[in-house]
Amino acid sequence: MSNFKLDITRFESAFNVEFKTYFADALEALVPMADEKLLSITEKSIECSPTGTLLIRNVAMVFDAYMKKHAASKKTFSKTV
Amino acid sequence: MLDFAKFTKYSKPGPRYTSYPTALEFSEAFEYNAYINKLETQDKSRPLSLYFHLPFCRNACYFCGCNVVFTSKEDKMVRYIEYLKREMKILSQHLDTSREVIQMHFGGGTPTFFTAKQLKKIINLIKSHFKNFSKEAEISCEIDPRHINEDQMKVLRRAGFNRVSFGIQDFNEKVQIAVHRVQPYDITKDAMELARKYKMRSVNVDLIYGLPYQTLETFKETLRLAVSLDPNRFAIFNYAHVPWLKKTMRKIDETTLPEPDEKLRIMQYTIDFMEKNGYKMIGMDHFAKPDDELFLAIEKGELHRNFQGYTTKGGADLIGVGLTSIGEGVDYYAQNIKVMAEYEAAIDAGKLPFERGVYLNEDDLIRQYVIMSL
Repeated sequence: MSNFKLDITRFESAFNVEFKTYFADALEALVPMADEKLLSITEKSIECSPTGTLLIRNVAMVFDAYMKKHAASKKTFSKTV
Repeated sequence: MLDFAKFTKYSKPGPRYTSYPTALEFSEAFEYNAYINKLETQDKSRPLSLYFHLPFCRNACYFCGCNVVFTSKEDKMVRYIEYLKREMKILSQHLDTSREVIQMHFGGGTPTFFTAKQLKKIINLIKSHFKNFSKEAEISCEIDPRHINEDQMKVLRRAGFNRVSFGIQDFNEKVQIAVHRVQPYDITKDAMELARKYKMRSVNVDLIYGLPYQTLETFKETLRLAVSLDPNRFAIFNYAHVPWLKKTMRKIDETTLPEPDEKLRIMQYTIDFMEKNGYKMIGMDHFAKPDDELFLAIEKGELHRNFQGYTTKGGADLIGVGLTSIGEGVDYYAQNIKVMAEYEAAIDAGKLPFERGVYLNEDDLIRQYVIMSL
């Protein structure tokens, strides 16, 4: 929610985990967004396009472990758009 | 041009991620003693960021999502200062208050609902506990242009405040009436001139899109007027309509709210317009001039987001003081009690008015890093 970009190399040096293994589910969920050119995914980074920045909350939600729990209830958060 | 219809499918409930995990995960499972332990064992080499919640307002602005106490009674405010004093005294028993303070923010409510004299008293109390303010500390206050006078601005400036943010939201009168916040352009202009007279380094404004009766056309005019005031930074928030949480939002007629495609148009126009007028987008909802220190922070990958917005001041532990305020450490979030009587009762019992929070496990920390970076 700050840089519209994730530096995967930096992430992996901060935590002792392999990004693409740890976030296999999230990466899969990002594919449709990448197809719509909201973001680009490489081995080293995930970067939002200008359109993607407008929908950054939707991108971030993919990495949120608590979203599933709240998905059933509409009365939680405000709408992203 | 964007194909707006294609993107409206992304309109769904989602957090704004001022924290991860979000406040929905805060609970009483994070207990008082655990919080005290966190405070007592903090890394003392880390600086402090302080947040003071000054919750009083005279009237409700219907869009407001903040925790607010409506009053016009002077004695309630005097009483609150007394409790802030006592809260800080208890806090200093558990926290090393000699640590360097690199950031302080007064939020509300309406901080400038307190008189110049009362603000001075609050600041003096803070400085009697926190004596080690950095010379470069970022000290900021939210200001309602309808409630600010020269004496108040003078007190803030002399106390080292260097940033002020003015709530505008929207200049259109129909919108202002619908959200119960009528604030003519000249009042905002005069307030901002006062801030400049007292040489506030950063004079900022807040706007909101997604309010009742707003259209792309009305918002264009609001942006034009706001840019004419030449603020250093803009926060342009997406209105968070959560009437199930905020009673005052129920006074807003939902049929008058702009549809997602109109909001996307407003967002896209806003970004283009701001860039044409010399502002660059920062993070989700902020804009600043290209020479702003925030851009230098982006280049270094050091831009941070916390409950106070975007900042270059990362690596500090945030301590919240006052009703409902939120604190943040390396691996926890902590929130104070939301009900005034209970807040006071905790302090009367000699305890910090801590209510709930969340302790971050390894998975939370990993996801927090990713979400906050993006």
